[in-house]
Amino acid sequence: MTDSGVSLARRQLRDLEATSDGAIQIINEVPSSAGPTFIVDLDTSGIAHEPGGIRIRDREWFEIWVPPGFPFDVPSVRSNHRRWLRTPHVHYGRTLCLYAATSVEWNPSDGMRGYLHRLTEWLEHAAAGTLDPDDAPLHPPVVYADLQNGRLIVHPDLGDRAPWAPDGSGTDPKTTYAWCVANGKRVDVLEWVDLETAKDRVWDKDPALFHDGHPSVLMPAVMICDEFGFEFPRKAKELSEGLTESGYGKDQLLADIATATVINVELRKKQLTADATAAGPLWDDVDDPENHPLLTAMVVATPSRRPDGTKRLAHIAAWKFDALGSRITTLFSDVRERDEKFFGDLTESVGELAFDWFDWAKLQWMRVMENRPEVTRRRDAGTPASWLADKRVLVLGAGALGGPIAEACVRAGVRELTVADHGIVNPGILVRQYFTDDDIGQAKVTALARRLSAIRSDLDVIPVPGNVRTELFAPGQNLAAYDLVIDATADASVRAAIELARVSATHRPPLVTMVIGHEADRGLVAVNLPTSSGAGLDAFRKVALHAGSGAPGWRDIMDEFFPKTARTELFFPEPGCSDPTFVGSLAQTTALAGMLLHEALTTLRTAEATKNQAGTYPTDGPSLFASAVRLGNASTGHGTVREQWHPDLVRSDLTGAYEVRISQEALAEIRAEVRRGSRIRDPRIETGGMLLGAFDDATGIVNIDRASGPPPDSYLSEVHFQHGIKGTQERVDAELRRSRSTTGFVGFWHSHPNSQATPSKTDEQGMALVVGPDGSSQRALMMIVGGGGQPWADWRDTGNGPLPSTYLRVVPRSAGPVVAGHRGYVGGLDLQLLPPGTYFRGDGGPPVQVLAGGVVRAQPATSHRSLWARFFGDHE
Amino acid sequence: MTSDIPDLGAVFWPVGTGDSGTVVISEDVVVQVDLNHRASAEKDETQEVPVVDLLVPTLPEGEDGNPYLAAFVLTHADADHCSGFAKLLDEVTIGELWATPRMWREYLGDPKGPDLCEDAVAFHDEVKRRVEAIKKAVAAGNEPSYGDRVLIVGYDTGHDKHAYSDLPDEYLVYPGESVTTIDGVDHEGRFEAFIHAPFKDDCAEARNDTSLAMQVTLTEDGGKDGKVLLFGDLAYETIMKIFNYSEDKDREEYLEWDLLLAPHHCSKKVMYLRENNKDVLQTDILEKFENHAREGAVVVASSKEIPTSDTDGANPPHKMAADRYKKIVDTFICTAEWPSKTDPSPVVFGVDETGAHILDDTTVEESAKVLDLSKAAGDGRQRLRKVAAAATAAGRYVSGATTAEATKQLSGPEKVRAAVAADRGTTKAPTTAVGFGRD
Repeated sequence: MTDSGVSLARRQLRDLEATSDGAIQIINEVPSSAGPTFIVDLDTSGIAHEPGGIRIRDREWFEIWVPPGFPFDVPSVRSNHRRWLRTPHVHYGRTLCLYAATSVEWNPSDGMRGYLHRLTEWLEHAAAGTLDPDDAPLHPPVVYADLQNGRLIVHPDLGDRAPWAPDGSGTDPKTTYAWCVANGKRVDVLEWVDLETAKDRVWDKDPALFHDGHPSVLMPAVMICDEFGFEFPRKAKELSEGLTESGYGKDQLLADIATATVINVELRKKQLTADATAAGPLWDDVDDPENHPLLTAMVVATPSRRPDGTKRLAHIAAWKFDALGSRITTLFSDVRERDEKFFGDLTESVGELAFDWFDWAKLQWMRVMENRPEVTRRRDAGTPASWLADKRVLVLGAGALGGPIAEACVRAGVRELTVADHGIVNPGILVRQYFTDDDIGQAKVTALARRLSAIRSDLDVIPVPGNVRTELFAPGQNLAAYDLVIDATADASVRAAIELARVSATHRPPLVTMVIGHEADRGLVAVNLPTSSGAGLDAFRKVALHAGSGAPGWRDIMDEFFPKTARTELFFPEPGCSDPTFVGSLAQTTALAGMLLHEALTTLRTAEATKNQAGTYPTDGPSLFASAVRLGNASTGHGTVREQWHPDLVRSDLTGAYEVRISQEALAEIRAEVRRGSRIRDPRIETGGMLLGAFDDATGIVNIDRASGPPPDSYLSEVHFQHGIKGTQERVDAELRRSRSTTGFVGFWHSHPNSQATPSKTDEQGMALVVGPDGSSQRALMMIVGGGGQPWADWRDTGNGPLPSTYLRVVPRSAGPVVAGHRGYVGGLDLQLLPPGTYFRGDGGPPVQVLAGGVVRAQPATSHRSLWARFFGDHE
Repeated sequence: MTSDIPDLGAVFWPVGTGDSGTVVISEDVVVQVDLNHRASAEKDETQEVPVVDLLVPTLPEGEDGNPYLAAFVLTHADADHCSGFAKLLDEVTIGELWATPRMWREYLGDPKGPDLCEDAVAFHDEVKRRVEAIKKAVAAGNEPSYGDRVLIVGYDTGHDKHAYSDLPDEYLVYPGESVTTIDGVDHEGRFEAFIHAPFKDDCAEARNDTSLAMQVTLTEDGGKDGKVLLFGDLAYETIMKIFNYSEDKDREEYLEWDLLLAPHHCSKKVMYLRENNKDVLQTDILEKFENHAREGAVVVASSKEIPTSDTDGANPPHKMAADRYKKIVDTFICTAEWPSKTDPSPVVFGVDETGAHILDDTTVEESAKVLDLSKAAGDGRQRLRKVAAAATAAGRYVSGATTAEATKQLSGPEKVRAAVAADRGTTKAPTTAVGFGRD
């Protein structure tokens, strides 16, 4: 294997040499157990040189090392001279950095051909001085770090502590201190502190000895105003000389190290006393662990070569002293502390010793891993997930959806995360949920919170193992503690509980509700903004109505989530009375969870942009959003479909027992009928119809989804509205069928175009005897819309302005016998009850005369207008 | 590069494959190193370049009223180094001849007479004449007469057998020694020639290997100097010996160079050895050259155009040698291609207060044009300019030898990419998916 890779490279190079007419010449092949190095001479003549570029001769030699894993491993190339030292993308003096990201730029199929091609382009750019353009990502100077020297993870911004101006100008170096915590070879900078603060922490009554069970340690950090170019020195002497040139003399360097060492020795003593195990072993082998610091190291901060944005930010390197250096500086700090009386000469000679050490010591650079916000860019920057940053989130459900979603929240940078689930981990769920064998039998949220809390040092995930409904969504519960609630339980009871809790909630955080289909190939997610009139239950009702209406792309969603008949072949993974669940792999559930969350976050981020100055969502915009996503075979060509709704009109019914939600669609239908009536009859004639929707006794919510107009056999006058029966049952049946019983008959509406929406005496009588279209007596909602005057006319004609007054009352089941001919609003129409007079019919035909005793007589054929003029006097 | 021509320097004439170097030390002191005068295009591969005809009018006037050349240095007696000597001797008074012992050896070693060209024979005859003349003068207690001086450079194990061995020491110089005196006048502080070869051990080798090798240092009044390494037609072994010898003796200053005249007209034998019928590159000599090069050094190949590819057995210049030099220096110059193949100009090496450098070809061309005006103005610093102007005229003789290349010259990277494309069969690499997933 290895030989074939190298042979391939050799063959490719020789082929190229043969084709090149002398432009490519293999000078030599130097064998090595780590793979051969080919000395290749390239024709590099005629390359345009620009100021700032490297000088390239007419021919140059390159040492191309071919790794045994070629072509799957990428070769590396060095110049065979050091003339290009300290120029962009030349490392170790002569290694040329050809690729920014080999994983996408290196093409194994193209092998040495592409490699040489790339090399020629690199040379042209390097000669033109365009390898490090001002708008390219800032490549920090190369520090030849060794993992053996430990890793330094830098969290806090250095920010204004840097002594240089934003443009990098400045002369005086400055020393600050890095308050760190050490865990094995890993050291985290937690905070930049001044010396006094550091001392206070150590000599405090309650010293800050440990962080999360690991010992604290202090490092001096010198910030100098000169940049280091592309490479940091490799010898202490070079660094020390460089620092001296920048105004930071070696005396100062030694003094700062000694100062930190005094503090670190004290820390170490106290740490050993407090908890020797947690204090851990010293980095270096020293006989007397009590009188030595955990480690001796210093941070060097230099301005970046050019500004990132508007500022020259700090580039940070960290120099760990070797064992001897550490001992010398420790000794120096020790004698310096005693200096004042007797040890003057000794201090001087130990100082000289330290300088001698500087002169020949090799620099041991720690591997610095940047986590400073000022110099790093989040990998999810600009994505919808960035909406989650600094949010307080409650995730309900810790299963196949909730688990990945909670993790996504943690990684996206939420400020607080609460996970709630009442389940425990059973062996079967390991197939697709991120639990381990050790977690079996534990509460899911406990295991999940433990795992997620380990992801970020600054976040402890709060588990709520109990009943979601009683723990978190009891009515009156304060939801202000969350910025987002995600219901991933797929539990109808939880949805209902949230729906109810939000009715009375004073604070309504955005709510995301999601479910996946029974074969884990479709998912449905709804987002309720705070301005939304409902919650997840309401959202899914609206989805059902929308999908049931035959909207393109939603038909399969209707069948999946609102099946005509309940699925009888439920999937029970374990014997006994376990919960039925869906069949689906981890790949599917994780994919769906990701897609659903991404949809929700996309919606939330978009909505965020619509917020007004006060920081609240506009009330006149859409407030409810739903998306359906699909995987693989479920793809219908529609991919992801989306729908949105404006908030319902929400009113309380007269009894206060029900919240009535009137959909925008129903409102529009009512207005349309009022307008139609005013046009074909007269603005003063009442009209009305059925209300279609649903009662939910669990939540005490009445949804009005649709409103119909008067059946043709209705009687309408200025003071009276008698609802007919023709076609009513058919209409109700059709709605029930289409919406799969989501919406049906809930009551009647009629208008009071000339007065307020208060029930007349006739209305009161009628309400007592309300009868459904099927003739049965049942509880029903009575709705009167009214007002009169200009506001009424404005609403009717333009839809602008608020709805005129409404009267809403849920009428209980009538006590009387339900028989044919019952005097009610519907059915058993009893003309005897109608006061004699002139009535329009629901069909818009000519008015009729109702005489006493219920005799109806047609009016003489004449125009409506002249007829109406006879009744009321011609207004025109 | 400066805009004017200084008064100290050297001109390398564009005379095809062969050497004609003129060193101007002062207005009155001009030294010619080798000569490749071609009165007419004798063979197909050579062009008419009447160097002597062009050079003679530029020379100062000697005390005998004839044009005066202070010295003529012959590195070795091959035709491409001494052609036209007889004509030169005829037209010019040559103050001093520098010769190696080689020719005596050749006459001695081959009773039938060595294979020498007429000019080489003329040279040797003149040297022999001068040796006898000097001996006579010395015996009479006199200085040699005007035009009689000679300097024998290098060792020969057969010294005793040769007539020159009776000369006083001042007429003999050996490798490891410096010469500052030319034709009896000491130019120390302005001119120094450090002799590297011929070595005694090589005296029996092929003629090329007995070439005179020296480092010429020209120092201007302000102390800035320029160093030229001249190795004649030496090859790898002897040049390495020169480097190693001087390095061992801690006199590396005599190895430094601002200008290296590519030995043997850019022969591959400088850095390749023949092993098993293959040329094997010797990188050690490249390192030697590079290590001793000064900042901004140049290599000059005194040859016809560098071929686009080498064929086995072909005479120099060799492309493979040129390619190796190009890696060593920023500037590689072939006299037939400087600044272009179609219109060669002489390579003028000048030393002035800014140091040593090759003069811009346009400066040289412009100088040639204004020469007459300057002469009228009585400018004293004319010698190098005059020689350069004459050599510019020589360039006109060789120009047109090649037809102008219609196509634009490809840059190196373009050639490499063309090779990559040719090998791949297409200009672009096969497309691969660009996706991410790991980090």
